[in-house]
Amino acid sequence: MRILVCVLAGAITAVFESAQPTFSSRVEGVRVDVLVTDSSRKPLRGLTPADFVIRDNGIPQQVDVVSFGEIALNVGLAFDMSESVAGARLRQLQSASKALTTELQAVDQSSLITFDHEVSLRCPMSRDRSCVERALADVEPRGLTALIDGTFAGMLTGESDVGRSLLMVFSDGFDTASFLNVDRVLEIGRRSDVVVYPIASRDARPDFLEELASLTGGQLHEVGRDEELSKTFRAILDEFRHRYLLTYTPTNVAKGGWHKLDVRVNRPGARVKARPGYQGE
Amino acid sequence: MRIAALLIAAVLAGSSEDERAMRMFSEWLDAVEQHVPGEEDAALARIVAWTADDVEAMRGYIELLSGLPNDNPARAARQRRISRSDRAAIQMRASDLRGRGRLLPFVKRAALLHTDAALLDPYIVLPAPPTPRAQKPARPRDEPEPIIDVISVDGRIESYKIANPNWQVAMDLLEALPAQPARDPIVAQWYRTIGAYFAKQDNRADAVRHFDRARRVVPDDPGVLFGEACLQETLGSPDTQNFARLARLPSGMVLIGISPPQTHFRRAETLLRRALALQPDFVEARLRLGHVLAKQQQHAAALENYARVIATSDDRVLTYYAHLFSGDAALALDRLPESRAAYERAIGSHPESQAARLGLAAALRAAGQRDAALGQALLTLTSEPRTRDTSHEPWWEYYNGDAANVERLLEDLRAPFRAP
Repeated sequence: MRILVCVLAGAITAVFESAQPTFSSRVEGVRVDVLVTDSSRKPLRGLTPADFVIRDNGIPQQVDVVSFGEIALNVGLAFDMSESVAGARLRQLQSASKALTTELQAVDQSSLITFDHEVSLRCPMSRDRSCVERALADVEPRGLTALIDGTFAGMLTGESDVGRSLLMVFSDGFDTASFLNVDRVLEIGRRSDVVVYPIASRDARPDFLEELASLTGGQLHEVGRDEELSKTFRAILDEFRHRYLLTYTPTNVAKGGWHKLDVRVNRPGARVKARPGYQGE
Repeated sequence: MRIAALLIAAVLAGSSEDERAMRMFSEWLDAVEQHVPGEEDAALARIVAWTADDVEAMRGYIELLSGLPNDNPARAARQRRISRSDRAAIQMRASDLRGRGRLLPFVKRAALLHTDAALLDPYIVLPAPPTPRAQKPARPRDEPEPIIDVISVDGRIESYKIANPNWQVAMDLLEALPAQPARDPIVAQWYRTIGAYFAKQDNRADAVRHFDRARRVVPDDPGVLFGEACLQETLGSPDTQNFARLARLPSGMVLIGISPPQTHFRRAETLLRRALALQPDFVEARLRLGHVLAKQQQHAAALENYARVIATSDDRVLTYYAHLFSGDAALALDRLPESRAAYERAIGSHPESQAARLGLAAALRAAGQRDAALGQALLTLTSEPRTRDTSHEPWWEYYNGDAANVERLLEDLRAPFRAP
């Protein structure tokens, strides 16, 4: 929930040349990732700060910046690699991931976490497009499903002050092995800037993923057992790329505690999807 | 003429069945005497070769010999099927054994024989999913609903099974041992051991039936109470609960034995408190009491129990669990420095523990220390996958309950009957 203030290179140089003590500068701001669609569910483009109304705990806030499409993405993937994924599902994940990374732009980054009962960071967040493909070619599904642990790890490795962070969690089942408590991880989700888009089998539909998606401003996608995943993966990326990133400096509200957010757009028929609130640090 | 012919045929058939049954019974008597518990010997092979129907046919004979009270309709029906002359012969054999003081040792040996038969082949996998109820032939009213168990792998139904009937025979035999003035210690020992075995096999279906019967036969044994508490904790675990919530069973089948999680945790708490009342220094029961209290959101009480485990036990795994769970309980209470310290102690005990590292990362993240949280998580996330096992991460086995003790318990159970 913070932003770094960008300092122009020239200004930094000037500070060094004057041999004065230097201090990092950070503004306590809030970033809100917002999807705005029209009545036919297509992303609504061209909105400016004046189009948005944000209320933080009911208090109207001044939107400072609105970004659309131009910010680099950090796309985290957290995939269930438990025994039940073996076979056709793994092949679908491999081809869907390839389709997804092909769609990434030069400035975007991606990472991969896999989880069975063990959680592993296979690819750290980087611009290396081939890492995910290589890693998925090597995995062999086995064991149980630490879905909550794996999702937590995905959120943690995806958090960044630079760019916008998307976490796509795939699981075809439900948790059978995590140590972390659901409530604790949901609480951390409230404090995180990462937007979670889970992809889950229609017959599993873990409540945890649905709730996490809702409180981070993402959306649960349900897929059939034999349904291709490439289309879903691409659709999520496309939707995420067409979201607005709003930033504002909270005014007239307490710093800590839970902040209820209400985001609206002054356009007829506009639908807004954003996280319902955030936890003040 | 036609009626007479049918009657003769029926009498001949009955006589032939009786002869076969008595031959099998004689074979069984020899097998009990010859079998060395724990060995895959010829005596065991003869019993293992029996079909489920054979075992069922023999149950009445075995119950009669062991002196099991004829106190329920199923037993009465089984014993009615034995001819009068065969019944007399069996009773004479029992009387002979009793007279030589050999009946009770014989019954115990027989229980171990059937235990070994079941251990060799713990259940019978059905070749096809059960037939939907509507297509089944009508059953007589007094016949109970058949119980079919589900084998699931990583949450998916893989196949169906029925329990090996040798488990029932072993339990029958143990129940035949006198209850007064006190049950023979082997009964409690057997129930704890086989409960641990079911835990090791993740066989929750047989375990439920097992402890249902244990409750009647040995209600006050700390080890058995602990074994059932472990089972209740497992039935309340996300693994079992999620399976129960989402399993798609064939039409006409319903899951039995699985209640809402809080029901199982309350039952586990009651059982563990009883076990601790009987044996206050039962450290593992203390640890699990803490865990089921935490599952009921009683985190402060959980922390007290963990602290007692840490103070009294030098068992490396138990103290690891106590530190690990303390980390979570303190985090739930928003006591972040305490949570962090507890996780650090768990890591001190098991440096490669994924659970403790992720727990510590969660505590740090909750405290707003994002970079430190990531640093801790990376220490486990970047370790080479598949190089760790449960010796590095005991958490992966926690819900196996008493399973860790099964080899020792089996050895202890068999040892007295192996001596020359």
